[in-house]
Amino acid sequence: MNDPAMMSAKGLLLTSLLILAGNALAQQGTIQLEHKAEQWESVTDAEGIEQTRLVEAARVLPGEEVLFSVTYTNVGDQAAEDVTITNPVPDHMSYVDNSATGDNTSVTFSVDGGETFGAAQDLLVTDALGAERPALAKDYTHIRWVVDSDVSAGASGTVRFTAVVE
Amino acid sequence: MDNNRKSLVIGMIGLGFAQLGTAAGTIAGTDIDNTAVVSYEVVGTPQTVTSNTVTLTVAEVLDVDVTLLSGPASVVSGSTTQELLFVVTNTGNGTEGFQLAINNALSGDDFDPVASTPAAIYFDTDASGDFSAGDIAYTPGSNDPQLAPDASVDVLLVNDIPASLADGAIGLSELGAAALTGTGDPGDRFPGDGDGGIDAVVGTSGADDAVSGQYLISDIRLDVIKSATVLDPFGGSDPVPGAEITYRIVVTPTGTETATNTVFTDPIPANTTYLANSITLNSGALTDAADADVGVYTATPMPEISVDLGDLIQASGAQTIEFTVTIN
Repeated sequence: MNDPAMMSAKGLLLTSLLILAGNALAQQGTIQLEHKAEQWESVTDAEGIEQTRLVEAARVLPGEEVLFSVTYTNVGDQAAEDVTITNPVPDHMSYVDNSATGDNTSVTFSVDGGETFGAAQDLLVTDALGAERPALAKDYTHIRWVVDSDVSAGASGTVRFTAVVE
Repeated sequence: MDNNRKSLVIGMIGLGFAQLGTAAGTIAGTDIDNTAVVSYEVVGTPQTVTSNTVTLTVAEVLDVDVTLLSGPASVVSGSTTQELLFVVTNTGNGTEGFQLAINNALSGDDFDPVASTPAAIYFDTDASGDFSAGDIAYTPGSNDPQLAPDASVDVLLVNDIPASLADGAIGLSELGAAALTGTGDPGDRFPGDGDGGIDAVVGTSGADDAVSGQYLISDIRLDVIKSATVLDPFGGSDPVPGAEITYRIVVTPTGTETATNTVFTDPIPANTTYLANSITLNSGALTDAADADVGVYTATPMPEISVDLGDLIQASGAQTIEFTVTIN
């Protein structure tokens, strides 16, 4: 681990545990998140074979898909329970159906700005005329992953979803 | 999922809903931010941590559409300043300037129209759809149209028609529009050249478009101009119920041949009633019945008037038809 910021965070955490005044310093995070946005890029190698690879996304165009990934790591020395990762579908983007993945997680969605979450097939939205209809992927405002078991010290995992630029 | 877990999540970031985009999608230069939140418990103490924010910037898509608005223009050999009407639309997602060009050297036609001088491309400044005195000439590099996303501008091509062409001959004239930032194959990139220094990327149109319109030689041509005058019951000109509208239609033949069996027909507008025996031709009164004179009013199936103008040549001169209706 060469990242000085992360090393100092660890140091603080150890200190806090020693003096048993964990709460304030725990805000630094027993769990750390690393959030990335990537796009698939097609490249042709020297032999003329086309391959796709993921590259970091910075400039995007309407209609392009972006893969968002959030890696969680328990950098503390105790297990974390009820680990729940919530990610809004960004403004100007629409969630791509069935793209949310994550090992050992249960995925739910919100169509009301994150107030409530439910399974995809249970969500309803109200149209302009007041009628309810089943929610579509583009209606989702937030995605939530609940890790099914405790995340032990040192463990990590990654959750992902794809959204398309409107 | 149980409700306790839901309630643990307290830091919700990125609320709000996307503002309306353009037909081409999100406006160029828009930043798209995203931040994830994790909540969890350690030894019964709930905690929340937010991630780093990833930011995407929407690049500029360069796209343009040119559409012909006028049908085949019926013209007489040797006539000058004959126009075709087009609309140029910025179908990209950023504000872009476009260079316009005329091309008359097209294959698939019988003759080449000749670009009028001093200018052959005009903006339809007065929105008349016709080439008229108020229209401003286009000068490349000087007044290239700058269009916001989805915005459009009406453009006229103005050509002279060569002499001595056969009846039915067709000449094509094309208007082209090209993004000033650059054109190319879809996906070609102009780093830093887009709105506000973002990347610009060529869209599906290739960032240029061109479409041609048609001139059709007809040795006789009829121009029809219609106008209306309102007389209200109080001596004014307000189109109130009871007011009379007098329509004047002027039919002008131009050319060397004869337009045979010319009949002018005009439906009576909705919410008006035809004023009996009000048809006149060149100021001479005509009766409504289908009889010896050339004027007829028919009430069914749709109320309309018709005037049989017979055979017209240029020497016949302008034919003026008038009729009157009352606003219900």
